[in-house]
Amino acid sequence: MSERDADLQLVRRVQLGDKRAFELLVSKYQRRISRLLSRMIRDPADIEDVAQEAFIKAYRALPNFRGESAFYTWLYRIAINTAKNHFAAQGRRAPTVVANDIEDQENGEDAGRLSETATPDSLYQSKQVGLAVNRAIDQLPPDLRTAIVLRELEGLSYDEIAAAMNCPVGTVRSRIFRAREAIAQELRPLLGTSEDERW
Amino acid sequence: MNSGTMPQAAASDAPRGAADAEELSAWLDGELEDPAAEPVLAGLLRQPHLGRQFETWCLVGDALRSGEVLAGHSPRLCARINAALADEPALLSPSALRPRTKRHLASGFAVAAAAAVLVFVAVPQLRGTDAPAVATALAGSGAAPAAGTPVAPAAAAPAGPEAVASLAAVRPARDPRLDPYLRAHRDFMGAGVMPAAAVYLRSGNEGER
Repeated sequence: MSERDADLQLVRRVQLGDKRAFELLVSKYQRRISRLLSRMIRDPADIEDVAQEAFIKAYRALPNFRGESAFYTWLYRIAINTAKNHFAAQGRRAPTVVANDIEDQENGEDAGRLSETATPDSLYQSKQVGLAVNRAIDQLPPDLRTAIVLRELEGLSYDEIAAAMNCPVGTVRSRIFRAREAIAQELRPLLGTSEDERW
Repeated sequence: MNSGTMPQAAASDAPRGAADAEELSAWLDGELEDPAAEPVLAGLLRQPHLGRQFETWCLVGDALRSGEVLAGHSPRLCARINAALADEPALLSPSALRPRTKRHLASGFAVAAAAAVLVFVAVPQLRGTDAPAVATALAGSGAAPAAGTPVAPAAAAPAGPEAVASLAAVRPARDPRLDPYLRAHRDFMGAGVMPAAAVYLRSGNEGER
């Protein structure tokens, strides 16, 4: 199973009438979609409108999604088309951003644009969250830190991490879970939520 | 009275909760195989605290990967989308109801049916009226050609005088009244657009001789 398969399991649940599964997909991908849209749209309010429209369009089109591509790839295309329609509705042309350029930026370091469009409040909060994450990472025991970095930053599978760290896969699984929990614990007060609340 | 049992129950729930959460973490990474993944997904959809854990871990992942992605977070957006989602009807996709294995079986049957049509309908039509007997014999002997495999009549036909008799037998029945028409149009024979028609054109030509 891969992360793509995990998404596909959620998609199948949505296709069987479970809206909650779609809410989980929204909470997983809303930041990436907002970031993508910020490459094309400057106004933060418009970004939210278009993101919402894109997710609802995706929900309506989900019966036709057969899993031939990753869910995010499919959602990403819907978001781009929704943004183009947004410009067309305003009688404007979408900025000539080639999809490949956006993909490069999605994966790459060029991250300046969203900072230009985000509100001061959201910028401040994201900066605080970023600092808290760094602080949490610094405080992690080295084994946990290595495991979570190899997983989240390098995208290695558990088998690959086990080979790199010379330990059983079960240990990798436990270390990643504990690292996630430690970082989440650091973030909770900042996000104004307890374990039982939602951000 | 219950004071003795309650903490015990809580203590036994706590490790289970941690185990569930660890499994959820592995599932999020796509590292849980199918039989184990299903109950985790069911728990995620049913238990709100697992849902919150999922959301926070997604945020942690985004924060680790890029501060820029984090800047795209709007606490209102999720709530807005979920509110809009509430107005949408629940989906029920027939494709999700159909198990994938059945779909594979159906496509297998479709291929078999196409092969059968080729053997019992297309080949006899190409060969002429007596050919069904040949096709039936081929099918009966288990030597039916695979779909898409061209059938070579020469290879199946006997040699010598029997061959002539056999060829005469497979010659298509044709109304003799067609002969003048075929003679008049023999200049067009062998055009190659419809190779099957060449049999008829050649027959008309032979009749003239």
